[in-house]
Amino acid sequence: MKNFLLKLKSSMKTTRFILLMACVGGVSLLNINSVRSDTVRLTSKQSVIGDVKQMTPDSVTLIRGNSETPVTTDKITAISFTDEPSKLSQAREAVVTGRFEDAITALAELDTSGLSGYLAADAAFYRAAAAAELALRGRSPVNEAGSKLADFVKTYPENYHYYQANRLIGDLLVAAGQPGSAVAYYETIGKAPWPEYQADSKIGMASALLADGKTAEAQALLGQVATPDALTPLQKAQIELLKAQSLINENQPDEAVGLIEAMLKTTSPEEIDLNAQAYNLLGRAHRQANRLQDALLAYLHVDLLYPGNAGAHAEALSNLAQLWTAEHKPERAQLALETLKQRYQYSRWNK
Amino acid sequence: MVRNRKTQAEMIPSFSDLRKNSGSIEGPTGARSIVRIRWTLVLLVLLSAGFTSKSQAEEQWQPFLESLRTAGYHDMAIFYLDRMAARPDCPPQLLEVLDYERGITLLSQPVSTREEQLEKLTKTTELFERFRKDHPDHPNATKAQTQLANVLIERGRLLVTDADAPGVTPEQRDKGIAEARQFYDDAKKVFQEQDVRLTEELKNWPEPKTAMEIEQRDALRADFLQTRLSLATADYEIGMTYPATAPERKTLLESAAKQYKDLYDKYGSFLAGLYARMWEGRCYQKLENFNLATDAFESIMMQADDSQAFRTLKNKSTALLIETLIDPKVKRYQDAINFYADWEKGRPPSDASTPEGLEIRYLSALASLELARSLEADNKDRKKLLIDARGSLRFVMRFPGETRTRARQTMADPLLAVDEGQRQEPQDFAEALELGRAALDKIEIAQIRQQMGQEALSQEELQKITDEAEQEAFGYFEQAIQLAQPETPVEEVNQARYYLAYLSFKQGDLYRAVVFSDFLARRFPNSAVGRPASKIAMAAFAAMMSQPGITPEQKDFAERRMSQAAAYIVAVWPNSSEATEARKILVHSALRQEDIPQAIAMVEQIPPDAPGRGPLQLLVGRALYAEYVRQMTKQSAESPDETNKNEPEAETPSQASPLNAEELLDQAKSLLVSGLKLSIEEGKIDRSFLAGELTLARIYLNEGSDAAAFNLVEHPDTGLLALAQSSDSTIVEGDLDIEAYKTSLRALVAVRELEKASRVMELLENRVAQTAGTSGGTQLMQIYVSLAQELQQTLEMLQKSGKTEEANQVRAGFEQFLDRVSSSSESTSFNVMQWIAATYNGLGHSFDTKGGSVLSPEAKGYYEKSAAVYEKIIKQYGDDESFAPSVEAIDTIEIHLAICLRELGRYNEALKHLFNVLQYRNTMVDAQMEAASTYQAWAGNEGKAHLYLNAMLGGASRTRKSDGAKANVFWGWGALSKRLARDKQHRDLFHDARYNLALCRYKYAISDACKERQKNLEAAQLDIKVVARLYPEMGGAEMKAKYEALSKKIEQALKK
Repeated sequence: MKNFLLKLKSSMKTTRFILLMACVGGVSLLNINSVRSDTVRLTSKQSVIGDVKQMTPDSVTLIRGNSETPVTTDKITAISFTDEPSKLSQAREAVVTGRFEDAITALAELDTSGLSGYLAADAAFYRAAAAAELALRGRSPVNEAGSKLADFVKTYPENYHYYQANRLIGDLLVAAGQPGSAVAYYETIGKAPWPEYQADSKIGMASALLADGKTAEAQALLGQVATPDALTPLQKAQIELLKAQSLINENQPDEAVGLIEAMLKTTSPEEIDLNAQAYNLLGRAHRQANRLQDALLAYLHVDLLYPGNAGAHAEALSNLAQLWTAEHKPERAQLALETLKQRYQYSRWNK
Repeated sequence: MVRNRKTQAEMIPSFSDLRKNSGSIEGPTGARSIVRIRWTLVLLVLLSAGFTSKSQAEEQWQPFLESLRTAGYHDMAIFYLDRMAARPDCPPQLLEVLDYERGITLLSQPVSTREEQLEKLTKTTELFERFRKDHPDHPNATKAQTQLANVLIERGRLLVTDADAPGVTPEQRDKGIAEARQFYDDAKKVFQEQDVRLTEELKNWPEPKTAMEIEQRDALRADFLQTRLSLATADYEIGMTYPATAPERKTLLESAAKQYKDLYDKYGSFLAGLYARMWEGRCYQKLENFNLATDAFESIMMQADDSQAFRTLKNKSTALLIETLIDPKVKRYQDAINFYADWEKGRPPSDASTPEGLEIRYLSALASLELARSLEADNKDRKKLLIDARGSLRFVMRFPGETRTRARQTMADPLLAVDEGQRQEPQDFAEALELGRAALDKIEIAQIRQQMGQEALSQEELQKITDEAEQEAFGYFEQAIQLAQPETPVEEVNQARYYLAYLSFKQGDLYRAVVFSDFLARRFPNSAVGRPASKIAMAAFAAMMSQPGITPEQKDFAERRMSQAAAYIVAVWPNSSEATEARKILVHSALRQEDIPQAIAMVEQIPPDAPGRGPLQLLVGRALYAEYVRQMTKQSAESPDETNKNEPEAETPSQASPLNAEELLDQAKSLLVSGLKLSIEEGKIDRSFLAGELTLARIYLNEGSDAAAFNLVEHPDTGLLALAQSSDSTIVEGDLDIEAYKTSLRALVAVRELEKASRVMELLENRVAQTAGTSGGTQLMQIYVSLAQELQQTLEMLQKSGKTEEANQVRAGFEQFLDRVSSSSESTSFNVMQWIAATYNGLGHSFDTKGGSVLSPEAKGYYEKSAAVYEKIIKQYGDDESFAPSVEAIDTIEIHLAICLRELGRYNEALKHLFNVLQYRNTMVDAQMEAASTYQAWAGNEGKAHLYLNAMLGGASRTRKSDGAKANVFWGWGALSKRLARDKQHRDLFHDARYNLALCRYKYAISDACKERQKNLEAAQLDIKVVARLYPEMGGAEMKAKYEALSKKIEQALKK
């Protein structure tokens, strides 16, 4: 489960949407150099302008004239700072629009020697975040990105990106096959004052524990998650998937299939990440029950319909290669392996 | 948010979106190329997908299905449709169009052979017709009609291909072409009718106001566009049936090109319009206006859109462009190679194995080959071009389909064989592996050359080529292993190991085959070669077992390792076809090791639909029944050897089974029933089936389920009677048919089908007469005796299990039948009469109160009937000696009659008949034993203790001719036991005689007739002691217990 990754992606995509809308309206937010105050872009598509006076993982306070405006970080998409270097602006926009290679190129050209305070922190975060996103897509090494993020949370524990950075570290550790180490990072998110983050924290921890084979501990954590009414639809669906994963861990594939199929019935087919993860789990359950053809169909859903989730796609391709082999289709197995190697060179599934 | 991420499903456009995207469009097919405008569906699929309403909760079947087809996973698409159809929550929209979608999937599936294509078209026609019949008002009904017309086009195309095949006479060709044109014309008529209708509908279509109305209008437009494309393609196809120089061809191709151009001009911003442009180019290509053709193809390749749908179109155009460039009239081979190189550089991995990708690769091979041909032999580029061509062709040959066939044929080009005759020294692993593969290709190439008439090789020559190629390949693969480096991909090293395993096996080097294959199977079970290697390992061990001159130790080793290999396959790939084969081996192994639970477990693990499960169930079922019989026999001291002596042989466990007799029987029955059913479904009617059916019928008869037994007998195709009369040697072997007749006879009598029973008797007699010749009479007599014994055994079983009613019914049935046979004029034959007598005797036995001295009235009645028939036989023999097959047969009758008379208490008469036999055949042991038994029974039952002396010492003395001395005709137990002691084979009989000797001595001793009680008792005791000293096992546990019991009695008597 990459629920925190989903979260980050969600916020990034929303931002991308805002940017596009702004462009359509003739006001280019890309022209950052013209901004004379710090600008906090909100998830509600609004902006708050002022000078950032104070920053903690939970809130950012802006001052404009004599008035101070606190903004909780869960509502923030990004902050643009007065007179920031254009390369930093470009890198930030590249990250929020999912152009991670561009972000890394821009940051490579950024002279950080003169940066300090919030600007230095932002540069460090986006450099690490872009690397992490590429690593999660199997396009760069995980360790390098993880080190950068770890440095960031250590150096800037009061930065508004703090929770996001912790999420990404957790996701990277899971992707690297070290879910046990991810638990602590996901747990950090639970220190945020918002119920949604707290639920996310438990979901992330449970996900890592399940991946680590600690099914009972994961189930206990899931039991502590807020009542269903307090959860977002996404979180509810994620919990269902975790339950299914828990059943698979307990070698109850048929029950897991029932749960996943029920979950899929209530999930929009456009939810790429959820669907991709659900079909992969479905594939795992069918494999466990030795229904290889059904497993093939499940993984093919990811390969053909939901390849947009890189991690899930790599997992599906790896499984498809094995299943095609088992089904005496070596040419298809070879194809899946080639795709896996070419697209997800650094993925742990490409081993 | 996440929900903003769009799926491919959502991206599939409606008609008005076609400008931008997406889905896949197939085109009309040409004679021999990927762009052979396969004119089917595509647009229809594309558009119908666009109209799918997207429920949040619904399975995205349409985009998934389309994706599967586009990726070439047609088999999975069919599996997916089957799975969805079986689900209770299958979307109703999908349920409605299942046949349509199956038809679309099949029609777009590539096939390799003409037969497959023909089968595909037949099946597709059925599907579309059924869809139209079941859903006449469905929006896809029109599309289905279009698809049916497309099938006509495909059929026409097939005929055109046939007409161009080698060896077709001009007359045959003309006929085929004429038929093809007829198909095309029929299809064109359908398209024309649709065009008229759709034009009219569109003209009258009101301006749409709602989204639904817009969708409906778009669907109509899509149909219209597709129809126009189809019309153009029909002209193209008809044009292509004429010779290149024919004016008709030129006219029709120009007409098609114009129609395509019109569509492109009007709809050029749509994907469908671009397809029209490609097909326009195709017409120019065929008109040999190559510049216009390449312009058309290149204009499509320059399209910026790189979505899947556009990539497919661009790939098709690339293939057409290369095909045009390598045309013998164009000969721009280097340009073709350059276009291929550009394509190769920019393609995603998934494009490599699509039909278009394979075609491009194949055409690139042709380009390299032809360019190489145009160069001088010493040109340095020539070798590289030929290597490229071989590499591309080998790649294409990895994938099934029509392109593979052409690649194989091209591989047979003599130019590609240049340099291949000399052994090359590989420099690295990859080169060695490739050279090994190339060596193996020589075999296939030789076969293709042979098929294509390029070479006329004798079978020996072909074999020589094969042997040499395999030898050469073996050397290269061995070198490859040596050249492998740590960074060499392990999958490729394993490929080399697998080849070595396979070639070793083929060459009979079984130990080497086992080393490679077992290593791969166990160390790399998840690799592509793991499972096939396990199969080689198993086969190699099996081959070892049947090698001539194998020692018992070697055989034991091979068998053990084969079982281990099989167990490994079952554990690692439990659902594979190899596991099914492995389980069969394990079942046999378990039966040999007398491990019944393991045999059952293995057979139960075989999937119900796996081939071979049925026969295996029959085998295990029979083994279980044999074990049941063994247990029952053990429990009963009666008739220990007769219970299953006619059972068809099965691998019979003799160790104690953990199942009790009842469980064994239930399990055996269940396996036999299921095994027969599965075997019938599999069409596996053979000896194993007949044996299984026979066993089950006997079980039914023994438990009184006569009707069930009758059903097994009577089935017209697979019943015992039908199979017994089969001339198929795979069904009837040995005397299995005789056993089938016997059991059929019993079943028919049991259900009172007496006419049929009589007929079966005739069949049985004919069968024996045909095969046994002069010994037929004796054999038939034995058959009838065994039949009577089986009946007796059944009656005893029924009575033992408390089924008195069933037992009575069986008796009544037989009595009725026997009476009927006796009274018929045909009943006078010796064998029938002796069977009647034996059966009456058996019936009497079933009423006999064992151990009691008084016969029940029923038993007495049957014995009397039996004796009467025996006496009649003897009398008829006295009247006419030819009545019996031999004098020995009459002796046997006399003995049986004596036994019968003894049961009736007519001891004197019994001895008289035994005398008749023994006076001439004094050494006939069974008659001697019956005589002693008769004296003993007479003494015991009528209180004539002095007769115990006859039982012990014999009687009926007479003067021996040889020396004039007196000698007893009847030996008595004493003389009998002495003679039997010499013969190990009759040890059981010896113990019977010896025991009875002691018993008679004891009984005589304690009787009033005895004057020397002590002496006789001590003699009796000594009889037993001598046995114990000479034969410590004392004839086994059962006999020993009898000796010991008697010994105790004697001891007690001695104490008195």
